[in-house]
This record gives sequence, C-alpha cells and structure tokens, in this order.
Amino acid sequence: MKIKSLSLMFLTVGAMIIASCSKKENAQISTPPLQVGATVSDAAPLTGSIKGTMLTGKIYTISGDVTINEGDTLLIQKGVTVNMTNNADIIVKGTLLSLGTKDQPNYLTVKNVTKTSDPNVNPADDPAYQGLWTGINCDVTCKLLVLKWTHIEYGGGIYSNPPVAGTKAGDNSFVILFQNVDGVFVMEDSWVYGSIDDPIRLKGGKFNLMRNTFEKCGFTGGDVMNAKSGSVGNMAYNLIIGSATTGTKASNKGGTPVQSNVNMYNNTYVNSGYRRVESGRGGSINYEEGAKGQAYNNLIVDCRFGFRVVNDPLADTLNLKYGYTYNYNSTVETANEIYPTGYITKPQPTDVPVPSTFLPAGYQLGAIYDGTSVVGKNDPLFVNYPLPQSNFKKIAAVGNYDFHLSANSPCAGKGNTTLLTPLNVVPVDPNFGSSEITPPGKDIGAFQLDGSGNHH
Amino acid sequence: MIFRYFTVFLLFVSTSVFSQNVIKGKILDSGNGEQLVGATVKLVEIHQNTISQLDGSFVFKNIKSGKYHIQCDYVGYHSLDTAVYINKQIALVFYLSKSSTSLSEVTIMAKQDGGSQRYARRAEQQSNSVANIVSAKSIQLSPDITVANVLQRVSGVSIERSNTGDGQHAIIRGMDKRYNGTLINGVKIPSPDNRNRYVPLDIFPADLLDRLEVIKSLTPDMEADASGGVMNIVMKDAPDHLIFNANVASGYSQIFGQQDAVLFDNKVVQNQSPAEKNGSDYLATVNDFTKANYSYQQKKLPLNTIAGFSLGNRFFNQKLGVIAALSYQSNYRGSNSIFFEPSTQPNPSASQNQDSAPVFTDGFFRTYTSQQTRLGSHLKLDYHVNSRTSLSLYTTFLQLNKTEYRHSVDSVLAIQRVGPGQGLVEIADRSRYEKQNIFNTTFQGKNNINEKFDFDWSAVYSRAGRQLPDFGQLKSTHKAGIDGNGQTYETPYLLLGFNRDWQHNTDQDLAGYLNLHYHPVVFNQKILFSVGGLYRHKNRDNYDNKYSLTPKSNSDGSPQVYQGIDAAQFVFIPASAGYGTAASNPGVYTFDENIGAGYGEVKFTVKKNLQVLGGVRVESTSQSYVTSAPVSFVGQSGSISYIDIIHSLHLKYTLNKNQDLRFSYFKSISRPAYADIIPFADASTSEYYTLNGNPNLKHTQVDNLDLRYEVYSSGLDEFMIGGFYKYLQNPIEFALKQTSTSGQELRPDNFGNATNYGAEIVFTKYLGQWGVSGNYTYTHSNISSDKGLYYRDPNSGNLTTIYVQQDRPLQGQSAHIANFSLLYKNVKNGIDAQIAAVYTGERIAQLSLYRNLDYWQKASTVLDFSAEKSLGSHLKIYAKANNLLNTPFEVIIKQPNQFTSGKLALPAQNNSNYILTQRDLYQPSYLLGLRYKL
Repeated sequence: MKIKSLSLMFLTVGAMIIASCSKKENAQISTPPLQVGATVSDAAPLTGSIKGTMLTGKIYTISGDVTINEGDTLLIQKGVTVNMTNNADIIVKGTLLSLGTKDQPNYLTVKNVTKTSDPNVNPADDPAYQGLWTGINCDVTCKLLVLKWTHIEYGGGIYSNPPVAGTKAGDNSFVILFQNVDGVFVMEDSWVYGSIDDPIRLKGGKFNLMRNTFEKCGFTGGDVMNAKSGSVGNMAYNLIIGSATTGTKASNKGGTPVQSNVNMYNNTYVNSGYRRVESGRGGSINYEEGAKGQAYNNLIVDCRFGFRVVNDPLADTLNLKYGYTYNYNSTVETANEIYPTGYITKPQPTDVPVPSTFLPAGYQLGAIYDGTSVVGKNDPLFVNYPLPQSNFKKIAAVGNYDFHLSANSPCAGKGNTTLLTPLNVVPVDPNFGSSEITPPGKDIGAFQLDGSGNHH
Repeated sequence: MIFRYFTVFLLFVSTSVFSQNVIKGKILDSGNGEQLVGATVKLVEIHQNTISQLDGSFVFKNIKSGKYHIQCDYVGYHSLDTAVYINKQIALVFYLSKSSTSLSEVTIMAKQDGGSQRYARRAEQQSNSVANIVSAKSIQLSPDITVANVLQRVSGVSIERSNTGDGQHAIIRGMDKRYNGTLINGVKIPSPDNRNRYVPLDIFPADLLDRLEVIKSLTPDMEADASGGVMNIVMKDAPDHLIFNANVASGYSQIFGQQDAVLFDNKVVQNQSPAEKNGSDYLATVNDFTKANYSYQQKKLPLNTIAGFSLGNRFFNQKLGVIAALSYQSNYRGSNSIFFEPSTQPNPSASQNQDSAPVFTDGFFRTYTSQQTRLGSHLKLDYHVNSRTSLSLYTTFLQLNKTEYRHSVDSVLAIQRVGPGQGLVEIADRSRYEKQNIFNTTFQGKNNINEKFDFDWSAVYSRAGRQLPDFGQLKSTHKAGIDGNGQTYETPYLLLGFNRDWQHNTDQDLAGYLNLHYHPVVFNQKILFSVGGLYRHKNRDNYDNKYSLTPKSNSDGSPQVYQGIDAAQFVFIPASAGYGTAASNPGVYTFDENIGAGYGEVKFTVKKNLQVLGGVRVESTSQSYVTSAPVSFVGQSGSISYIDIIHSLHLKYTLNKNQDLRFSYFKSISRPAYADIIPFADASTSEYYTLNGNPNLKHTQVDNLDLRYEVYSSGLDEFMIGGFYKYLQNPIEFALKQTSTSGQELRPDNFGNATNYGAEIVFTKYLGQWGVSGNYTYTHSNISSDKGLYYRDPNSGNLTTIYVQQDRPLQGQSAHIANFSLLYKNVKNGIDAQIAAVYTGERIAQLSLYRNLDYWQKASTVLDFSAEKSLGSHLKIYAKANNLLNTPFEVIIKQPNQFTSGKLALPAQNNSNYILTQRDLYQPSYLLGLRYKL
C-alpha cells in the first residue's frame, strides 16, 4: 500500500513539473500536412463522386453536384480555393474536412462576383442574396463535418436537383445542412457571406459553432444558425451582422429522442431581422418549442427583436437559463422590443440596460412597454462603428467597420464566466474535431479585449 | 302486348248491395307475389284509369253495378284483360306474369325498365353476391343531383365531402375510399384525380344513370381490388320503344343570400406554363404571368342551372337500339371555414402517463366560392345481329370544371400573439381552376354458340385527365395590435412571395375482357362453368411546374406595400427561378401499370335451394415509373410487381320464395395509387396539408367474410340483416409527418394489420301512400400502431419522444352510419315526396403521429328534402332542398381544451372537452325543376 501511494505521489509531482516546464516553451515542429487517399486533380472541373485530398495552393472548380460517398473522406488542405459553378452542390454522405488556417484560409466561393459593402444597394440586386450554388448538404449518414478558417460565399441557392433525403426542387437550399443526430459538426473561425435562406440548418447533431462571422445571411427569411430537435452543442463568439431573421435559434421540433440543447454565449448580433417581411419572427436570440440551453454574455445591437423565448409552442423554460444580455438600441422601435412583445422572455437583473430602470412596475412578460428612456444608452463603444446608427436596417456587412470592443467599453468585464460550462460533445482535435472549445469570456460579445474569442 | 295469363281471386264479398260500388284491389307478380307499383288499371267501359300504389293496391270508387272489362298494364309484364261483374264492394287481386324470364339474361326484345325500383329490389335478390341497388327512379325522387350524394343513401356507405360540401368519395363499411372501385357498366374506368385511383363521384350527373349498384362481395369474375365494395354506375340502356325525357331546373344556394359569390374569369387562365409554351429551356420573365385571374368580381345570388335530356328508340325490326343522353349542370357553391393548423409537434406532457398537448401555429378563416360546371354525355348502341349474337358500343364523356376562389385570413398564432385581435395576419386570395374529364368507349359482344356454351367479350379504351393551370395564391402580411395608448392599429400590408403552379395528369387505359360460360346439365342440375380474364395496360402522365415569384422590393430595399394585384410587382430571384421546377421534379413522371387476370368459377345449385358459387382468380400486377428527379434522388424511378391468388366462395340458401340466407368468403386486394408511391410533395390537392408519396408502400390484402339474411316480402318491401368481417394486411392510411425541413406533410403508410367487422340492417316498408326506408350499419375496426409521445422524462428532466402502441379504428371508419327516409306517394295526385336523413358517426379524419391526438370528424346528421308532382301525363314538376339543417363539418381533437378562455383563447372554441380544429358551413341549397317524359 505504502509503496503504491508513494509512487503515485512521485508520478503526480513529476507530471506537474513536466507540465509547468512545457508551458513556458513554445516549440513549432513541423508535421507533414494531413492527407487522405489520393490527390484530387485540379486539371478539370469536378462533378460526380469525390474523395481524397485537395492540395494547398490549388484552385478547383466544381461544375456539377459532387458526392462524398458513405465511408469516403474529402480533405481540403489549407489555402485551397474551390469555385462553384452551375448551381452545383456538395453532398456529404461520408466525411468532409476543410482545414484552413488564419494565414491560409480556404474559400468555397463563386468566381467573378464582387462583394459590396454599400448599404444602399437594393438587396434584390445584391449577389449576396442570389444563391449562386446550392450548399453543403450532409445526409443522415454523414459522421463528421469540420470547417476551419473557411470562407463560404454566395451559397444557399434554389435546388435544381434535390440532393439528399427530404429536399426538393425549387426549395431554397441551406449553405450547410447537417442532419445526423449522432454525427459531429464543427465550424470554427470561418465566414459565411450571403444566402437566400438559413446558412446553417441543424436537424440533429453534436456541434461546435464557434468564433465565426456571418454577413448578409438570408434574403427575405432565414435564421443564421437554426438548430432543430436532436441538436446539442455551442454557438459562441460569433459575429452576426445583417441577417434576415434570427441569429441563433434553438427548437426541439422534429421528434428525435434527443432534446435540443444549445448554449449561446458571447455572440455579437448587429442589425439583424429586417429583411424578413413578416413581423415578429426574430432578430437575435431565439429559444422555442421544447429547446433547452443556456445563454449569457450576448451583445445585441439594433436588432429588430431582443432575446426571444417563445411561449407557443413553449421553449423548455424549466431548463433554460439566461442573463447578462447587453442591448443597445438606436431607436425606440427596437428599444420597445428588447423584451419582445407577445413572448415570455424574463428580464434578468444582470441585463443591460437594467430592466428595473425602464420597465413599468408590474410588467407582465410579453407586454407592451415604452423603451424611449433607453434609446441611445449604453453604447458598447465598438472600435469602429458609429452609434447611434440611423442606417442600421441596411448595414449588413462588416466592410471597414470593426466590432472589437474599445478598451473603455462598458461591455468589458461585464460577462459571467462561471454560470455556464460549454457542452463538450465534439472531440477536441486539430484535424478531426474542435481546435478549442472556448469557455465563456469575461467581456460581453464575441471579441475579448485579451485577444481571445473571435479571431477575425 | 300479349294476353297470356291471369288469375282473379274473389276475396271478399260485402253483404250490403248498393248501386254505387267500391272496387279495391292489388296487383302482384305471379312469380313471387311482389306488389307491383305504378301498374295501370283501366275500367274500359267507363274510361276510368288508376295506378297501383306503393303497396300494389288500387281503388275505384262510385262504380255503378254492371259488367266491366278490367285491363292491367305494366312494363315488362304481360298485359291482363278480364271481365268482372260488379254489384257490390269487392276486392280483387291480379297476378301479372313477366314477359321475360330472368334478369341475368339479355332481353333485348322486351326491355325491362332497369331504372325502376322494383327492378332494383329484384336484382338485389338475384345477385350472385351481396349487393345494394339504387334505381334511377329512386335517384330522381331523391334530393340528389350527383352520384356521390345518391350513394350516401345506401346501407353501409358514408361520404367524404369536398370543401364546398359536395360528396366526393364513398367509404363503404368503414373501408376508406381507396378500397372501393368504380365501374361504368361493369367496366373499370380510370380516374382524372391526380392522387387517387377511385373516381371522384361528383363528376357523374345523377340523371344519366339507369341504376347504381353497390356490390359488397366479389365473385371470381370481378376485379379483386375492391375490398369495401364496387360501385357500378349503370348508364341508361336503349329502350324497346321511342323514349324522350327532358329535364330542366334552377335553384340557388342560400349562402349567397348572406355573402356575395366572388369569382375570377377562368377564360384568362393560361392553360400551359411558360416552359410548356416556349420550350423547357425557356427562362420566363414575370410578364409571362397573367394578373387577370387574380382579380375578382362579385355576383349577387347566382342561379344554379340543371338541364338534360335523353332520347332513345329501336330501329330495323327492333335490331338496333340507340340511346343518347346529355346532361348539363352549373352550380354555385359556397362555404365558410375555420381551420386551426396544428403544430407538427405538440407541447410535451409532464409524464409518460399523460398525452402531449396540441398547439396551433395558425388559425385560418376562409371563404369559398366555387362554380362547378358538369357536362355529361352518353351514347349507347346495341345491335342484335341474330338470336345468338349481339353487339353493343358504349361511349361516354364526362367533364367537371371547377372555378374556385378562396379568400383566407391567416391569423398567425405562434408569432407575437398577445391576445385575440392582435398579432401577425396574412391575407391570401387563391384562384383555382380545375378541369377534369373522363372519356370511355366500350365495345362489347355476346355470343351464344349453342344451348350450353356462350361467351362475351369487351374491348375498352378510356382516358381520364385533369388540368390545374396557374394555381396560385397571392398573399400579404401585416401586424394588428394595440399600442401603448390602447388604440388598435394595423401596419401596412406587405406583399409576400407568389407561387404559380401548373399541373396536369392523364390516365389512359386499354383493356380487354373475355368470359366463357359453359352450362351443361348434370344430374338434372344446371351447372355453370365460367373461365375468363382481362388484360389492362394503364399509363399515367403527370406534370408539375412551379414558379416562385418574389415581390420586388422598393428602390431603397424596403418591402413592397400591397396595393392590389395590378400594382403588385414581382421579380425572379435568382433569375434562374424563371426556369420553373419541371426539369428536376418528381412531380413530372410517367407510370405504367399492366394488370393481367384470369379466373375460373363454377356455379351450381344443390337440392334446389342452395346456390354455390366459387372459384379462384389470379391477378398479376406489374408497375414501373420514372420521374424527372435526378438519379441521386431516392425513389427517382421504380418498378414493383406482385401476383395475388384470390379464392372466393359464395353460398345462397333459399329458405323460401322470399327469404334468402347468404354467405360469402372472398379475398381482395388494394393497390396503392400512383401518387401514393411517387415521392412528390404536392401542395395543390389538400386544402390543409402538403401531400407526399411513399415508394415503400405495400399493397393491401384483405380476407372478407359476409353473412346476410334477406326478406323480400312483397312489392318494394325488403328486409336484410347481415354481418361482415375483414382482416386487412398492410392497410394504407395517411398520417402527418415532419418533413426534413421544419414543415409537415401527409404521407401514406402501412401501419400494421387491422380487423374490421360489423353488421348492417336494411329495411323498406310501404303502407298505402306512405313508406319508410332506412338502413343502419355498425362497424368496428381496430389497428394497433406506433404513436409518438413527447414528454418530460422525470428522471433526466429532459424532453424526449418515445413511440408507444395505440389501438384505434381505421381512418375514415364510423362506428355508426344510418339512413332514414320517409316517403310519400300519392299516385292519384301524382305526388312523390321524400325526407331523407343521413347520420354519420364520428370517425378519424386524419391521423396524428402522437398518442390520442388523432383528428376526429364529429358525428353529423344531414337532412334533405325532395318532392315531385305530375302535371298531366308527361310533365312533372320537382323540387329538391339539400342540407336543411345547415349541418357543420367539424373536426376535433379529443383532448381538454385550453383554448376556450384567457390569453390562449381562440375563436369558435366553446367546448372544454375537445379542441375544434376545423368547422365548415355550407348552408342549404334549393332546386326547382320540370321533367318531361314522352
């Protein structure tokens, strides 16, 4: 016994010494780039079944629907550009890995289309909302989808060929559709620019959607990250600007045995919810129909609706915890919807502005109130974005703006880092999982003053 | 007519002697003692006429004593002429004998009036199988103008109605419409319906019919895919003398006294989509789409019109018979509907023992106007080549065009609804112009080779089609609410996306039938051996092309305010949306089906009172389809084949002349409809849900047992009591399922095996001028299937969905169905009147995927009235009134109702024991007309 516990003690001490030593040292030792199967040729446009590795530095063209069959893997190394043509889509029945890096991101895009950051361009004429290819469509057999440092642009068009079960011609595609309750979907440090409908639709799956930037998503409808029954994971440190409807949404609709459980924290939502013609559908955060989760440290600026908890069909309010939501509103129109009328969002004393300072005494959940007194209050002091903003319904892209916090931002240090533990449902792995499941940060919003959080 | 045979019985002699006498009497069938209704009785000397009443009786009053010739005439019977000396009150009974021997034999020279009620009762009795027959006379007298409405008067039959309240499909003995076949003159016809094999019965104008037969047990010579029953629509036959009938009527629907009829001009509807007009690679622009069919005109109290005639005669020494008939109906119908759309997923319950609670996403308040134009024409020629050979050629064309406007106010319940009158509202105007038609031509021959051997054959070509051009719905959205000052407000109406959909389908059938009969006499018994078969090639062509138009946003990007269809501007986003969806669409498909069948049956009688009919039938089905969906699409194409071997045995035991006992066993099948198989999401057919197909659907096999006791006491009187038992393997039912996106759709599926048993009673009794007729059917069916249960697991605290077994009746099956008619017939005044009630017990209208959340159609009673009066010997005036009680069509969920009051309160929810999901009201309609008979 004595020897056993003694050796255990030595081992522990030893391990501690090693650990503390290696922490100091920063070694960058090269490893061969990951490659699976054969190299994908860039000599001719691609169509049909596809597997293997797309090599760094190459430019590929996909000219017709490509399918990664069950059991197959397509690996896109860093620094690859894939040009989509002919309204094609990518069908994932097996595994897709796109492993860009900060220095060498990947692109899934369309050639010869020019982005515009001019807020006065009519959305009907903006290529962002044209849907020029029909997305990454994961079938129920897809076990793993990893997207890192990848730009996905102009996707989410109208299907001409319905690619996977349940889709049909004439429907809007999603930029990414994931629908395997037991599968893993990691999307980190990436960008989505433009779509007609939801950029991300999750119909079940274990996921980590973290540190991404979404611009101009949804033409006249579409929720940016839309999770249905069977979806479990984190949506955190994302910057969402100018989306048609909701930024992050969780619902348990769909009848899988697994209840949707979504953490939404440290996201920044700007100018969202205005292209949806119908009133009342959402603009920032949304929990509905039996979904549970936790939501803290979110920053909502000039969105059509604040944090929305839906009563009918009812979100799983017993297992829904939220607070530390920071709202900024340039006009009374949105200030009146910090706690959206007709829903059941409970004002939290940790919210900004503090509910007791502007809600009437005896406020009933979902009741109409007058938000005039908080208009223009609590400017989060972004590094470069003027507030109050009169053109908030139209500014839908980051462009030259910078949504990092200034050092003197009132959001600094106002976040809570203890109430929420991230859901660790995906593997942590440089290639086959999440690079880092970032826990809640102390500053409200996606960008942390210490450089952590969203790296864009 | 030949004077052949008569008997006179002196029944009763009064003791008193008066110069003014009363003659009472009855006219009966010499063969079976049936009372004959409507026979003419003539006192030749004094030119007095009368007609026998419902119970066969007649009376002459104030007759002077003396010797009289009495003449009795009745169609299909030999006339009777006798002399009677009258000097007191006397009662006479005349027995007339038939001029033909049997109904089952062809009787060209002396034609029976198949449309008579008497014929109908007799045919029921003579039938090889269990059958109910409605005669043309009954149909004329009934309040019904289409076949569908006639059918609901038949025992064991209930009707599924369209959104304007017209009966469309029959449910026979609790068996859904899919289990029931439709025949014209014994020949199967294809359906113009895009989703169903069975023909929508409202396409048949009732006045073309000779009779309607509902056959509930199948003999080996009949096609096996009718487990509930076969509706055989027998059209008028060529008469043996000149006939001419004409009929004209007009009326209105009461609903248009309260609201205007609102319709669009169907002539501006473009029949072809831009891609059909200009080629499939044509990129349409928004200017290719008409606006005029989305602008509407009001009409005050529009009149309904019915007109028809039939003309028939026999030529060339009675060898060639011709009958032609034409029928036209134009009816305006209206209805108001409330519909609460359930959310795909209910709210979770607190434990496994409680049911999940329904929630609604939308409340729809809809107003319908529809104009239905029916055109039916029919021509039958028969040629009696010689005593052994006869040929007939039958052609019919039926057309039903429905122009329908639906105005819909959609109160969105799940979005920002603070309370009644507040929240998001979508207003939609829908234009629907649907054209359906059926063409059928049948060439038949009958040959008696000799005393013992004969055969008959049929060659059939049929074509059924449906067009639904430019079907679309123009929608706007706005918000209604109460502002901080308590003032109500509405935001501007904003234009929403506009879909325009072109659909059409055509079915073509080519079929040949051959039956050989050999009837030798063995041991002094006539035995009938039959063998035969059929081959049918069926081809379906389906097209669907949908264009999605997006409202053009204002130049500053703000949404377009809706200011009427003419001002509305649309664009295609992306521009490629202008190609439409036909290029890659499972709704564009062809479907081939080949059915080959052969049978052998034997019919003989044991000891004069037990008739045995039995045999075996083999049916081979081979189907294949291909859609324009891409090959990557599951179910893009397919081929399915199977062989069914079907045995049957029918026994009829004759207790005495008027009483029979029947027993039947038969096996039957039901083939899924084409659209049940093709995985094509179709939003144009159901008013409430998108429908989809299921390529993995299996065909249904059914074992059927029938037992029936029949009494044909006299005349039109009858009494039948029977029982049935059915065992269904893989019955097909529709259930609401979640689509891969967040919507829901109705999909057919096999939910296991089911049993269905029940009993029915039919009675008709006439007493002088009054008659009562009724039937009652009790049906019990049971199927056990998986249902979802969405609840909070008390252990984990998580919400979860599990599947549990639940017993329930089959979809569409009512436990109780009853019909009751009170008839009045005054032969002397020429008055016929009838009040008819139909009771349909509650039944499952739609399945829910969740336990105890099925949608039940509430029990209802519909009351109709009709009457006619003779104006002279050729003319009759008639009136029909339908739906006198303004019976609502209601669908409920049997769960405690939390929507009656408070913040969740919904309109029309006034019962705390159940939740209303649908209520349609149609109001009564009235018709007044004249009928002329040469």
